[in-house]
Amino acid sequence: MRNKLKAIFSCCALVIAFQIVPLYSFAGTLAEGVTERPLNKVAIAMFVVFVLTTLGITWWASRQSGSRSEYYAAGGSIPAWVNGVAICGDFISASTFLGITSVLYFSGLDGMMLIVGSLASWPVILFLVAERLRNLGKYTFIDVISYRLSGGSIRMVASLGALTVVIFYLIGQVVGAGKLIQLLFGLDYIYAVVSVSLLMILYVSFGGMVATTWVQFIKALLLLVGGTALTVLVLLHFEFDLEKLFQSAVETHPLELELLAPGGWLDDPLSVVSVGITLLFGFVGLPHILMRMFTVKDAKAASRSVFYTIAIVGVFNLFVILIGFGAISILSDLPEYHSADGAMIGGKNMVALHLSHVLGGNLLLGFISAITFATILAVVSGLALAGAATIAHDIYAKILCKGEVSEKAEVLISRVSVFFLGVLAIVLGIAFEDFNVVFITTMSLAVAASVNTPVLLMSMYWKGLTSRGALTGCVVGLVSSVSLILLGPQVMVDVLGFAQPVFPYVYPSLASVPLAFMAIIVVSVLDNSERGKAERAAFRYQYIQSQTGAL
Amino acid sequence: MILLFVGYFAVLAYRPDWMSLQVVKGSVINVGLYASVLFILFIIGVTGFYNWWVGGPLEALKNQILQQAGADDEE
Repeated sequence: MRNKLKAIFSCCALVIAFQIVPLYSFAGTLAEGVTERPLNKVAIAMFVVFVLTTLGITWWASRQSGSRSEYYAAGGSIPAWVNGVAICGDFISASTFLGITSVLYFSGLDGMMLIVGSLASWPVILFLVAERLRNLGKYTFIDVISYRLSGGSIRMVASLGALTVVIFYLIGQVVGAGKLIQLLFGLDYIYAVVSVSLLMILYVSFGGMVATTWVQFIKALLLLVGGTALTVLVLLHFEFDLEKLFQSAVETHPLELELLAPGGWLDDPLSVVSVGITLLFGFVGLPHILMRMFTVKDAKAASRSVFYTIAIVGVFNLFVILIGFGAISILSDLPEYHSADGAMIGGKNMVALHLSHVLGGNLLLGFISAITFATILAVVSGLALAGAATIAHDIYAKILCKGEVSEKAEVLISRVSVFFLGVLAIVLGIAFEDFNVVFITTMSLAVAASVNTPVLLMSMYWKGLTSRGALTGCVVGLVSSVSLILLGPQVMVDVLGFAQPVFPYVYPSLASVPLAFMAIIVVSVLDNSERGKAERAAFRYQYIQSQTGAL
Repeated sequence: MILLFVGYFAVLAYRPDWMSLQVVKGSVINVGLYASVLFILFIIGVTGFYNWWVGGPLEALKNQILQQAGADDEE
């Protein structure tokens, strides 16, 4: 225990030194391609308080994360409402808050499509997934897929799918974090990426699910406070008159009335449908979100958690709508937030931050900046834990050791995996520095929608599913989604410089999701093996277990 | 729920002009804004009702079935 504490305190000291010193030495300096920002002492003070508080929680949580169940699932002891708020912390990433506000600001109504699409995935999780997942699984959603399907190959392919999603989502978050911290604090990109990854390693490897939960909980509360404050200030600016808010947005924006019409962002019908499919199925298949269902005591609590999440995310989304449209008339005419060519200083994603500066001065800007940093940390921690659980529990314990492994060894492997995921995040974060963050995140959502969601839903609801069908569906979903992304405009035109892409749509889900479902159904139906028959027969027991949790 | 979602995206994709229709004369707030906000509120409402149903009537029914199954096993 003494050694463990020493290790935590040494790491804390290292992290704080690593972050605070560069913050002061780099603050106010000009990173390449990034506009200089003055030193915001409020932001730095709030950031230090957040880091110290969460490190304290990690120290406390490290004493409660010895067993496998405690490390992966907090021993199922998290109250439903805390879990619901923590899921919000996991779900609302910086790209949700800053990105959607920016789409509303620049493209208008199409931002609502992102809000409605991502929120609509939650009833699917509530109605179809949450309770059955909690009743059937232990630590990861792959436990559920493997419940009646035999052989290590399906667990291995599902694990690869989950890891692909986790790693790409992690890269997206880390690259976004690096850029954002560079902008907010003037900190060098590499320092920013290393800082985020180091904190992530500390939280997850020492504190496991308990620390991750509380980091996400605190972040979600801060985000709600910040979002509410910003919304109230926006409404105050328009004297609580919504008509006035939207009227001024229309009068100020170059799109005029078209601002409130669809088509500002996507004008092709099939692209709109594809975005809808990606959002609806993508969030259902995110491993770090699904893993949170195992942290509560039973299926009823899992269901309640998801409802709390929906209510909070729904209300927060209404705030984002007001912030996005309200920012249009407040920010558009202020030259200090625009460069000479009319572009927004710091990039398109700075809308919410500039707005907070206009309405609440340095204090609110500092608070929102610190929240943004907390947001990134909370999301990457959830991702790292989900990735580590997949490596240690699904691959090492279940496939390589065939379940014959001590709890201590499995938890140790998981902690080591977090370290390697952190190092990988640093390396890939630096390698992907110039890639489009939205593209990377899209890729992970599309892979989740095409690989994880079809096989998870079919394993819980379709009696006819066999291992061969599930395996084929996973492979088809993975290969089709990744190859269509590579053949699409983001890679072929933007990266490789071709005039035309082979696949014309950015989002591959329009093709890859139906392909995955079809592959699962066709191969399962054609599977006449004895193993397939036994797996179909086992559905009855799985069904009772999934409904009652009683077997 | 899924039908509403499909309907919302189908209109956005194939009849976007419907979203631009004015609801009240002289107001810029159109069908698209109302539909989106109502959809968000509907999702919160429906899931709230479902949560109440799962925790109340369905839970009671499940416990009853489990008790009955336990009694049958003992016999």
